[in-house]
Amino acid sequence: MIALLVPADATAGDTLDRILAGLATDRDATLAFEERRDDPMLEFPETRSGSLSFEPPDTLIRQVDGPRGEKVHIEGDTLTLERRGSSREIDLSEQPALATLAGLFRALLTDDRETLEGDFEIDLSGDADAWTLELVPRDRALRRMVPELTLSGTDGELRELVTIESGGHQSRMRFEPSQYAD
Amino acid sequence: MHGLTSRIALGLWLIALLLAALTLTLRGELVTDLQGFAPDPISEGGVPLDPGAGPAGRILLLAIEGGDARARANASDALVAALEDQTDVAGIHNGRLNPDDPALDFLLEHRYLLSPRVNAEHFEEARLAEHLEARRDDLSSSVPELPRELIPRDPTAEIPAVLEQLAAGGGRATTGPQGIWIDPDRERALLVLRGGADGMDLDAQATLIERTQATFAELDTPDLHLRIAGPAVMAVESRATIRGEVTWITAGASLALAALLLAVFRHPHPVWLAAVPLASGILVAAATVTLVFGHLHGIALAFGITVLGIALDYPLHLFAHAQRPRSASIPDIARELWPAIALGAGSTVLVYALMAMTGFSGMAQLGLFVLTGVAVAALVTRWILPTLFPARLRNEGLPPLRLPLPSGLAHPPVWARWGMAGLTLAAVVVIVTTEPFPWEDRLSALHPVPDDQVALDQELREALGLPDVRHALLITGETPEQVLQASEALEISLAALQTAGTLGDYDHAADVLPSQARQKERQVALPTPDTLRERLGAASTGLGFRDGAFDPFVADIENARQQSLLTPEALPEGPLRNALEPLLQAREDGTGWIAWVRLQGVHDPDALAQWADDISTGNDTALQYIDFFRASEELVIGFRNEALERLALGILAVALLLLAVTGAPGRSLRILTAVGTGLLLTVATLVLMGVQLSLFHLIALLLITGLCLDYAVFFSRPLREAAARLRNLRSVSVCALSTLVVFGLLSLSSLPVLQAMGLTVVLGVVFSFFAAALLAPETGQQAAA
Repeated sequence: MIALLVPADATAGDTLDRILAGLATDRDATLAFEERRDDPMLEFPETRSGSLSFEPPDTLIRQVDGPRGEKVHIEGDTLTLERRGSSREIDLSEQPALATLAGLFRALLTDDRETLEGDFEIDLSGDADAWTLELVPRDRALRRMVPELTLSGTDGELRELVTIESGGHQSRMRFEPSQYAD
Repeated sequence: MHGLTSRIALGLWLIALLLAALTLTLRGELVTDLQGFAPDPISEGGVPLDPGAGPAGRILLLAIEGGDARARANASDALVAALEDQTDVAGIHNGRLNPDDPALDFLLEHRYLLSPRVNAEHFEEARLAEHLEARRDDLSSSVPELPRELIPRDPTAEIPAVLEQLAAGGGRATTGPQGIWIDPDRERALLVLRGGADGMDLDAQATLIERTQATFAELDTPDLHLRIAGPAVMAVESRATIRGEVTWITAGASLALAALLLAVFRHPHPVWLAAVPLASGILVAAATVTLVFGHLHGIALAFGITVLGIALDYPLHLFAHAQRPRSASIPDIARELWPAIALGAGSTVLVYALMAMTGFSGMAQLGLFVLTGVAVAALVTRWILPTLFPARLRNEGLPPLRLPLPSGLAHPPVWARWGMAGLTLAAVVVIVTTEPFPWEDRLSALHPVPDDQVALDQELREALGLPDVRHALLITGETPEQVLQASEALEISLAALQTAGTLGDYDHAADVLPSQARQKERQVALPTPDTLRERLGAASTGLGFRDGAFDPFVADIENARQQSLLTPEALPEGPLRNALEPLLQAREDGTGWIAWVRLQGVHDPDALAQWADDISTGNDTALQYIDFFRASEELVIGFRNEALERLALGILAVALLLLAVTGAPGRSLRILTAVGTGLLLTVATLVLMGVQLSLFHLIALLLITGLCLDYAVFFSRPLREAAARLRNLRSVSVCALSTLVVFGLLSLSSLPVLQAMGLTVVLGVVFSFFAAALLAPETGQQAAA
């Protein structure tokens, strides 16, 4: 009852601050994940495993194993894609969806609430122990490509990221508990 | 009898002033854009070559500076949102493709007609298999080559090909992390605004620029500031500069002159009386130019008023001769001075009449203005001014002049003449030996546009990847289809020029909108639905695509096979039209169409011109190589030669006039020698100062010719009495001083044109004065001795 009397924003703010504080890290961190893609273009869903690593201040590496595996290395505005043994550099601005995703992870892991709220409309449900963030990109063009992201976690850990893309493409990434590289 | 003449004169004068005022009130139109004054180059075929006119002239380049990248991006988006629906804005773009823009749907729908890659092999099974493999990667990758939402419709990635082709001609700006255009240093957000009004409608452009600034100010972002560049900004700014400069120079010169006259004549009346012939001259001259040309150009008015400084000399001569103790009544003095004044004024009118007959509208207006003004001022001085003198002044005369003059001036020592002769000889040597002669041929050097504005324009143009418009090929024909086909026919030999290194790159209209013939070829190359389905089935084996995953693609191809072909008129407002308009235009006179091929990295213009001459475009089209700089330079050279010719002719005509009127070859020779010496010394000094001589220096030289004629005519008057000669000397000195004051102020102007005139005239007055003084007849000296 007392919680209801406090303005909703203030509660949300406090919870979001706590979630971000819990996720923040100033060390290298690696999350292993399982990804399942459901795609209307494909006959069967696709399931793959991989890992997501963060190296402060702004390096992000997403590696996917398997036959169509790839390694994406993002540092600042430079993106390096390794696929089938060859590697090429791409300007991050040519990949707005990935750029936003990279921005999202950087903001989450460095407790940068300002950037997070600048890029997304955030709808928070649950509490700091078990939370879900529904994120809608503020950028109109981006919102057309990626209408919604749903991120959930417990305590200071990410559990799941569901990305819905236009055209019915959907990705569900389940994270395993983080391992810090010491 | 005497009273009657003056009453008639007064009546005529008042009627003339009234008519002039009436003309100006009813028909007066002051034009202030530079376009009317400086000439526009045109091609051999009559196509205007002014890069500022036409669609390119409507473009404003906007840069947002300060703050951080996100703040700039937000301001850029807000500016687009606030301005895109304004009626005088045809379009404003900041690099963000509006996904709801109907123009993008149009591109998507017509991609198979527009894409340069479409041909029969493009849809063979093996090619399709490569594309489908890549699309399968895209579905799994976090870095898809083609946005995933486009895969069902466009597996061969035709849309990126069309957009890339479009971007190549329309600009190559960098898109920043915020999805908007930025400059390479990432310190500015960039936008391109296309105005709805014509680029040379300066009032509309000024309003648009103001509104853009005001809209930006309303965003309330104190850290950020907006800078605007573009041809219209330069035109509007130079107009404002001209207005401002003309105002302060006129005010400053009037004040300085009044102060000088007050100090010299020690009486307030000469100050306003001196203004009467000048003001009458200006009024009648402005009305005459308006009647003849239909309007009066601001620069012609400004120069004209300045050059009419000669007309100030006439009343000054009168005042200088009317001091106590006076020798005659004021009307008698006017009559006595009239031959000299008429000779000076007549010679000046002759010189400017030659100028008035040029094809250079600004120069012609100036010429007519000055000759009318000079004639009117001389007549007013002779017949009106004496009657306007207050009775007391008329009876008593003016107080003695306060004008200390070095005694050497009245009796110049012999060595001074030899010195002057030596200097003149040196001047001839300087002028003859300076190779090449420092002519200023760039038309742009005359425009009062501040350097930083030009630099900003160039910087933004480069950052936005907008092409430099110096070199181009001009194709003319009757229909858009003809010129587009002719343009396409050049592709092979242009590619050969690129390989040979003659040419860096080129953009042409056919890249944006192919000819209908080429569209038809592409349409025919598209497979039927059954064939396409069969090939897709074979090509997608083992990739895991669901059945019918590419149905939208098959439907789009089928649709494209039935589509009606595109014409320039059929394009909607948007990127396609924006990219096409600068390159393909209907001619203004409605006689056909022109297509531009914009050339970049031209290393050998002569080879290109030769190539363009040799090539045959066929079917009623013509091809011409254009170098915009060269075109305007040639124009300047042409006008300069004309002005020089006129100066030479003018001096010859004046020589004949002098001889005919004075009947004294000796005096005529003295006058002409003085004029020649003054001109030679002025030009040599300018050359030694490292000044580049432009058209406007030439105009100044024409003015000096007039001034020097006046001085030399007065100095060479055959006067016996020492007192008369002294009066004469003082009279000319007052004139020279007043001209020095006015043009000294002019040389402080920030407008290159006015400054050139000011400096040249200051030098010219000094040299002419001394040349005329030294060449005065020696009889006086002997009589005094």
